Amino acid sequence: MMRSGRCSTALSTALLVLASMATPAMAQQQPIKIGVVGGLSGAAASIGQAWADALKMGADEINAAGGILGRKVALTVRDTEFKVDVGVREAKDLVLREKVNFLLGAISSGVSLAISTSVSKENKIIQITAVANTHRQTVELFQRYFFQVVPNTFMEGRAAAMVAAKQPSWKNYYTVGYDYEFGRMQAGAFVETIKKLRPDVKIVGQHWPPVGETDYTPYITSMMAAKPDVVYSNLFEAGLAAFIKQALPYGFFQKVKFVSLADVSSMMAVPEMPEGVLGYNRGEFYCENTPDMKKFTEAFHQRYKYYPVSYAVMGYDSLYVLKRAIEKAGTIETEAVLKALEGLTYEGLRGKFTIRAFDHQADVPEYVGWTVKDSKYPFVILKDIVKVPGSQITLTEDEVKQMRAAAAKK
Amino acid sequence: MTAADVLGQFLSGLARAGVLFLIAAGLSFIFGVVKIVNFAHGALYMVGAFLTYSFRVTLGVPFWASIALAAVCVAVIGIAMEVFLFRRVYGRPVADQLLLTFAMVLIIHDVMRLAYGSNLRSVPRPPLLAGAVFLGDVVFPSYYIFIVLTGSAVLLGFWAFLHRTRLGKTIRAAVGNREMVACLGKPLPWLFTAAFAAGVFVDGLAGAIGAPLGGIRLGMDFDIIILAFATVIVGGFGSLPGTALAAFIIGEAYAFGIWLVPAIALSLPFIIMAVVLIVRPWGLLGRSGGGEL
Amino acid sequence: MSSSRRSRWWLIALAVVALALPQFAEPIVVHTAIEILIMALFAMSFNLLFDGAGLLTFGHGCYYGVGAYTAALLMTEIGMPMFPAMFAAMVMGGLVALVFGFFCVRLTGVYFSILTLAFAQLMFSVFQQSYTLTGGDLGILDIQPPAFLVAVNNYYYFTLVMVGFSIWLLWRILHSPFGRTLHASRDSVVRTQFIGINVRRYRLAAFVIAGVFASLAGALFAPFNRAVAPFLVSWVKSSDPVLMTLLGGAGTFWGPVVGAAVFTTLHEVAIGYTTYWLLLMGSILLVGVLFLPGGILGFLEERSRRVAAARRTRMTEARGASSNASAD
Repeated sequence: MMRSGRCSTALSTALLVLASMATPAMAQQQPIKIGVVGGLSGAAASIGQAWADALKMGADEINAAGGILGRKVALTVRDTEFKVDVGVREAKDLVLREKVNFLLGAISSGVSLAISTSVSKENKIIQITAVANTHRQTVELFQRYFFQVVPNTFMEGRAAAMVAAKQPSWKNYYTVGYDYEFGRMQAGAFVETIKKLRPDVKIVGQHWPPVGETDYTPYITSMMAAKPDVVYSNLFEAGLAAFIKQALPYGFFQKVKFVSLADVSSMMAVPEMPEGVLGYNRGEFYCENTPDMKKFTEAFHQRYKYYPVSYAVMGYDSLYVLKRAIEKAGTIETEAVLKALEGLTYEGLRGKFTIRAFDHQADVPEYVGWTVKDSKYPFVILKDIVKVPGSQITLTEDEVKQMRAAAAKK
Repeated sequence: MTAADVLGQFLSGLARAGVLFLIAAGLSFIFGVVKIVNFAHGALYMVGAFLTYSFRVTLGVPFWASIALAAVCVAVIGIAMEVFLFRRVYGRPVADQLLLTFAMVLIIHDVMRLAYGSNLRSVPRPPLLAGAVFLGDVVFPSYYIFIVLTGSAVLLGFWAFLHRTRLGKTIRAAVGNREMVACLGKPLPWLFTAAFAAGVFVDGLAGAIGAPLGGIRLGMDFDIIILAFATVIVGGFGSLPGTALAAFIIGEAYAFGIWLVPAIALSLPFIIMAVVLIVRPWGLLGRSGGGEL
Repeated sequence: MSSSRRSRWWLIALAVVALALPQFAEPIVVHTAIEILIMALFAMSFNLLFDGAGLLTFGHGCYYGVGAYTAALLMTEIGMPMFPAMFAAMVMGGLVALVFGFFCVRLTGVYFSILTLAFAQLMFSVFQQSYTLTGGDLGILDIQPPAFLVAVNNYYYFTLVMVGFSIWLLWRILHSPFGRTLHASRDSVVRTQFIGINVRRYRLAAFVIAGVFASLAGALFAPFNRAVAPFLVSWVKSSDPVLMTLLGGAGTFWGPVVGAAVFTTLHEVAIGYTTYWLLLMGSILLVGVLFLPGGILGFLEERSRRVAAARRTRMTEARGASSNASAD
């Protein structure tokens, strides 16, 4: 019969052993470890899944072709559940315990920003985001280990506003955006730009539903009561699906014009998406007719049985950009890769883009068009697409300096 | 701001109240009879929604049958939970019961994730209810009418059950005086199971009916359980008319809150709950003398 | 007797390990140890109310979050140094606990619990939606501790001292006349009132003390994590001390600490192996509730008591004294 004293000893020894179980990562000849951290579940689950899938495919391609500098690429994928606290914890674990060399992520702008300040900067690990796009990451809260190959919220809002401004009858706007970093920043950029381009425009109201909201009826009815010409939204995926479903019976889309994020992930969730909506996305597979994009689309579709959405496109680009930088630097040593990334020009799936040295933002394009049904696909796509080049929508160096200075003064 | 707009906002609040009532009704009923505070209530609502998706979309079962099947399945799950788990903790301190139901929340959440993945699911409304009814300038989506009608039917059904059927009257007696009912030879444990099953059935039904409203996703259980608690508290534990009234208040507060005071609209249910708990802890229509579990 | 001497040996062993930890453990382990210490303080403050006063609060995360946010805001917005910011955070937590507690202690049982939850949810909504004041969903970022505490090992020792001192204080409080009165009110309100004690006032005092220690835990967390976000005030966070305390054993003084250690370690280990950690945690909780009613320490104490009783019985029988007691 075991004495309880020994039982307690065993228990606490086990606890200590468990606690020290963080063995050092496999020593000696190691693959290049890349931490993939993003929201694979939660409000943007299919967006995150698509991004992660593209990264896995890209890593396999790279390894099949001999790896980077002769070393294999090993991805460690973690789910942030679209939550800031989970994201930071996972990123920390990736860096401290798994000892990754680079971080790719995140999906949620809030999570990405938190990882940037709490993990990437602290531990001097390069972080490249292909989805989370708040401009604060490259402007006010910029830290030098952070890089962005997705059009930031400023660029996105601006591009949409530039096309919207060309519609003469669109005067009164109502905005509906998610009440978190991305929603606020992007709607803010849209409003700022449209007011500058069209001084006659009035913003009659703004709604900020919480992320994950499923019941938009009170928002819909109150917006319709205000009788705007246009409703601008940055809702996505699940939320957008619910919004559209709940708005349709009200004849919403007959009464107002709609400007919306029109990425394939969200469109797949909303089969009832109406036509004639001004949609914007960051580069869906159908937006580019290059042989590279065609090859990528076929490979992705064959492997995963669904179409690669823009987040997959950008994820793929981000991995290859990292590969190019490492090869140019000749080492995975952080400072060298950082220097290589700055000013790097890369020919990706969306064409050629350059990573600017002063804010680490790539001058990538945004695509704006009108929604239309297409018999080839089970989702709505865009037609009459305007590819707004990065150079037209990025913040200039002066603007960035000004915004950074204003933030520092606070 | 016209009368039509006010009416429109009012009607959208009513729809929200309808769904909330269905969920809270089950919770309140279970607490009133079985005296268990079931944290897993929201999780079972979520299961009802996911099952509806499986029946309707994956298996192609017609809409009405899907709803019924989903609700029944949830009731079965609830019975299993009650018989195998809750019965073990009836005599124990409240904390143990709460912990048990909380453990169920975590388990159900991940089981759903295993079964359905983390992508959003969507159930289409049946063609009959996909449109809207027009009263002059005001639009009322047909599906919301359906929800309000169902909620009212549930309310009446419960009332009739408790006051007109033998089983219902026995249950009410058991709430008042357990020992007496046991002395009369009624099988108390199975009474509780029946009551639990009824409460959980309504919960699953809420999930099934609520599914075509928006999207089905993981995490909807966490969101709704807090609101359901708020509704039950405001109305009064164990009082169904109270729950209906509270659901109405909270639904309308939300609808008009979004319109008039959006900054605090999401906090309104908790402000209301706090005020009620301070001023009248047993709820608007609950029985006074409550305070001990 | 021998049990308290054994406890003292345990304490000494624990102290030695705690002091020596950074010397032999990986940074990630020290990191986890800091989290455990903070959570342990948080859970201990919860248990002051739960086991001390018989009050089950579901909204304890409120004070943790208030402490964290107060420290964060003071340090980032007006550049206050960490120590005064932490002190201010404790004061703030105490004040909020005083206001909320005033209303909560008028209720009992499940109503008390749910009102605490209501207030916590209110706080959560406020933090979540005040985009300008509290940063909304994103919270407050880039909180920098003073230079000498940036290194993880240094912060560990600092936390160890603060938490150790707090636990000592809590021990003194619970074993003081105040603490004993609190226990009395937990066991029988009516009898306690009959001897002239204003139970409500004692409960409010306990509520405030618990709030102060919870906000200290939060204030320790903010500079450590370099960021705070509304989740710290969420009801999920509020459930952490409940789970930890019940897991470790609510009826014992050290239960919350054991629970915090087990819970946090399990989480750290689990996230490396599976994404279905809720399933794991839920299952463990289920098993724990059904088969380990007193929590880990409660279970161990009960076993040691039975072992000792059985030993005594055998000794008595061996001496030939007549006894009706049977071996367990």
